[in-house]
Amino acid sequence: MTVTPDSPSELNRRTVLRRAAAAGLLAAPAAGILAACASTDTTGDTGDKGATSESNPFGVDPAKPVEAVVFDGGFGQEYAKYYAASYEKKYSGSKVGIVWSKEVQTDLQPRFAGNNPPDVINNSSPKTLGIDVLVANSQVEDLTQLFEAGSVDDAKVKVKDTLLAGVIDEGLYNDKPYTLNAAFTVYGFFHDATLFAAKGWTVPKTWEEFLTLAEAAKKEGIAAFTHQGKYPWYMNNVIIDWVWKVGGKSAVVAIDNLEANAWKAPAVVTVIDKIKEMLDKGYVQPGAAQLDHTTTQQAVIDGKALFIPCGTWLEGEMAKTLKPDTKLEVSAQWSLTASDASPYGTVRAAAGEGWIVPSGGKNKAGGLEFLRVMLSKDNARKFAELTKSLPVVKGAADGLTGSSQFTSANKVLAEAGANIVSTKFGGWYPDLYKAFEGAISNLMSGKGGSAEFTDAMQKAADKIAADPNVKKQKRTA
Amino acid sequence: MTTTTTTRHTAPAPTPAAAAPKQADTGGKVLGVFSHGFMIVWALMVTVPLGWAVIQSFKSDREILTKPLSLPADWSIDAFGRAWTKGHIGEYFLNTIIVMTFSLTLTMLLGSMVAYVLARYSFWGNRIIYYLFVVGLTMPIFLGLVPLYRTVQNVAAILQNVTGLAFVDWIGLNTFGGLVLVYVAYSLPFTVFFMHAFFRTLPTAIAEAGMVDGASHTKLFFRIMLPMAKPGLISVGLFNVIGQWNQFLLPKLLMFPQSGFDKERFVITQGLLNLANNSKYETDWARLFAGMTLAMLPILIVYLAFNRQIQAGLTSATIK
Amino acid sequence: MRHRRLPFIAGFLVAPVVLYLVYVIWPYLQTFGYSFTDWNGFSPDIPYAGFGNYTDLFKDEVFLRALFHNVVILTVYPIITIGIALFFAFMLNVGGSGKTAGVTGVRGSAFYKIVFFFPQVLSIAIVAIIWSRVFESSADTGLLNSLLLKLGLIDHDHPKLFLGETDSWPFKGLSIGDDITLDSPVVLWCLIAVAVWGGVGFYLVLFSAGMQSIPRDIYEAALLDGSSRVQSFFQVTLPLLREQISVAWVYLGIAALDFFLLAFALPSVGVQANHASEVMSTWMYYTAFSAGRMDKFGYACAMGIALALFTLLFTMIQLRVTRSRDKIEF
Repeated sequence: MTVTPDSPSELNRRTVLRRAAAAGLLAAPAAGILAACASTDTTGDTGDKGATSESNPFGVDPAKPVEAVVFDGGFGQEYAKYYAASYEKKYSGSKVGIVWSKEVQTDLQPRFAGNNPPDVINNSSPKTLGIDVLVANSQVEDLTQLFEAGSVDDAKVKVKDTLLAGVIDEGLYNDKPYTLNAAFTVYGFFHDATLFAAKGWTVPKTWEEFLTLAEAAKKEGIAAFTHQGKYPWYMNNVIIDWVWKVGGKSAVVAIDNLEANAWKAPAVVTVIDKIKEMLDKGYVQPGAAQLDHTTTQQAVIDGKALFIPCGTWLEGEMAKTLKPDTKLEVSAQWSLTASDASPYGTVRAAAGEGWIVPSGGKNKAGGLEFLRVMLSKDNARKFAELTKSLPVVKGAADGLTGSSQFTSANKVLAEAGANIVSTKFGGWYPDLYKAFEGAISNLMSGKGGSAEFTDAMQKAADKIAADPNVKKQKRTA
Repeated sequence: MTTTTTTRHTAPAPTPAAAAPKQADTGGKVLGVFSHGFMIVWALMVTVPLGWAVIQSFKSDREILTKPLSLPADWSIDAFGRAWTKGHIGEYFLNTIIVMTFSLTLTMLLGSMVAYVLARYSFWGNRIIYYLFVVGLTMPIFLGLVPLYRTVQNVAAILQNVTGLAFVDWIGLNTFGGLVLVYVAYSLPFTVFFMHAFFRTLPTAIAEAGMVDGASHTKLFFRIMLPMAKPGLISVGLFNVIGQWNQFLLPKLLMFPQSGFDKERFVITQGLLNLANNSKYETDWARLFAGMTLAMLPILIVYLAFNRQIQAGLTSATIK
Repeated sequence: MRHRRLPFIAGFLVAPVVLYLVYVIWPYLQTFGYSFTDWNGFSPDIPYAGFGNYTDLFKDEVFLRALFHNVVILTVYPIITIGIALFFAFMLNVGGSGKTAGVTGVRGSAFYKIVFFFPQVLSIAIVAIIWSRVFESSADTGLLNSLLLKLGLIDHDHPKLFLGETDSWPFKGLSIGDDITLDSPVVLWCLIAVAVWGGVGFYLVLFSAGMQSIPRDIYEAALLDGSSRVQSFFQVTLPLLREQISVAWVYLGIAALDFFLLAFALPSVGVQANHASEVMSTWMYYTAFSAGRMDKFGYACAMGIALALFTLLFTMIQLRVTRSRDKIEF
């Protein structure tokens, strides 16, 4: 698809994982193409709206069932069942039917095409529905009505005022909020705090500190670094985040905007040189370039490697194979030079797990109300407890200490302040992103250094820039 | 072919030279040792990875990730239970069997009818139809997937409109009937291509005798030619069983609940892929391997059962 | 009887042919139609493009590289598979040491016949999971690398990458101009190996069926004649298996030109991004569903039609070359 503006990073991660299993094989075919036969005249309003009130702003009719399609992934099913139960409790006699989907786009595109979408969708998964297409076909609701409604906990406080800053912005498309992102993901380097405590090691903040630590670890037969080699998406984050760190935001914006020689900037060269140095000095887990995510993540849990780049789904993803005393913690990527443009603590963080309300659903009011109920403090807190992810409702997770990852992510986010990394080119230019994955794969497999890397990337970027068949976008902010 | 074999058959070369067989024997021995070694290696190449995969189903996830090459500390069959119930493998099994009972019968029947007519009768358009099927063999399935989705939807809708009968529920999207028809259609090229070859090699004499006896064309086909093609039917049928059992592009496209209150009618490969997908988000590798083991078991059993019949069929064909 | 021929023929053909036309040919024809458009796959307008997409193919360096990969596969995959399958079929059916009277297979034939066929019954999901573990680039967890380590062929910290090895072998990649590379990366050979592993069983059964129908007397006669087993193989078996071998060749050639499932399911994302394992079908798939081109679906359809034409051409040549000369008369 072209651009999927609701959280490209989340999409990429999943897109990447999708190809892992042969599962990927089936994923795409039905995709976007089917939208073509979607009728564009969906009126949206399904007519008989019930009476509205302060506690029922959308006029929900309890007799009408709500149909929710929810991504069946790393967060499990419990949290969504909890939402459904609290909706059914609020409206006695109502019924919420959840359909689980592994690939939302594949499963739902035909239903959009047949003008028979469900009432509310958790638009995550390896394949998400492209908001651009849905908006173009008037098949998705503007959620302003939701954000302007009173919240469940206090009808005087609007829903939008209960959410963390930036959450609504992340779901904008053409300046309108079509997506509600329900979870905050923090990215960074993960390590096992138990191992560090036992060895008396501390998390490095500079390149020199890292080298010292890496050498000490090497003596003990531990690789200082590993990465989910089969999925270059993870190293893509590491590289872009470091470029932002070393060269500042402008370096990444230049890359996003396909500027001349953006990939040959000194910041990119420095980052690639440092990664190459890690490889050449033997600090990276042997063979990691062709290992999958569970194997390498397990290496960190098992003390075979110290750091791995990931996001805050890691603990949930590996829950079953953690050791009893494993304490996964996330930290910011260490500085690479003394003159890095951005301070230590700069991290990538993004709201993800987007929910949408289709316009053609049979019970649109129910769909909207489902989301409003979902954003109650109680439900948000339950979400944090069950998924160990940060909810987007203010203060909902305060005081929750169940997990080391959760606590450390909270801390990292606070320390980062405004220094949040974001990048666009991956979502905008799939072909450039693919070239990036290829270049990363070569780099991490020991085939060439910064010269080859930057040459390949610049060539790919120039090719996109010159291709009249590719629609160009411009990043300003 | 028939004529050549007959002449050879009746005239075995009568040269019982004493030295010659001995010579052949030593040559055979050297060759035998080498080739037997090669076959053992090949057998290991097949069994070791498969055996390894089966053994994984008995291990814990920790063991799978940390000691992938060792045997399980204790042999747990929990993963099979999880695959069967939580992974719904049992339910998907049943669905697959329902679909394949019909799709296989139809495939073999329609496929051999076409193949027979094309192989044994010359008429205008014979080659055209034959090559039409050969073309189907050469096309990658996914090339036509998107139009196919709409075709299945439209055919059912049109028939329903014309007849007033509930065709959408019978052969529409997410129906067993629809999947059966699509399976049959996509299995036809292979079936026709191979059965065509088999029917061509059948001797003419018997058919001619049948014709002289005054049997109709249809009778000749069902009473004489079809039984004679049994070895071919069994092999082609077997390959269709495998192909349809392992097919997943088509069910993935066509078999998804069309509304939240429509029933899920997944087939086994979809179930397996669900498990594989799950391993990407929550580690339950043991369940995936257990599901894998369960998914390959029936097909192995079918093969083992049919394997004997193939041999028997072939032997009887040779003795005649 | 003659007068009843036509109704009979029509009656037998109508149902299967209609089914086939509706569900297979009609969708393909639609794809053919799209190949002359710049359709992006979902917008309502479908701009006509004439042969533009087809001429673009010759400028697409990834497509040309993928095409060359297909040629490599087409050159080696069928011959290796047929060779091994023929050899096994011969050993299993007539390769037994002829001490006892008659011609039989080697000892354990029944067992081998069953085992060699196993890979054929596995779905691609299973094959992918198993082989990615076999090729895993770790001396601790990869089956093949552990074996190499035990044999002392690699050291622990430098496992072989196998599916991640993008270097060309046995010849260095050939560069034409600035962009076009023609090569055969190691990962491609790994895929071919998996394909052979999976395919031998099928052709073994096919050839076995053929060999079983060759009267034993012929072999016995050949043996009495003083032919060695090798000679009897070339003098008796091969000529009489012509039909089956020809069928195998066609089928393997088609598989070699497609090769989608393995090339899509096995190599990692990074390797696929490098196009080291790219074949025409995977490149078409990517173009259709992921690429950033605005005319991508139309372009991908053109690729698919080109692929189909190559296959068709190959099949026709193959059928013509090996067409059986015996005529069936009714």
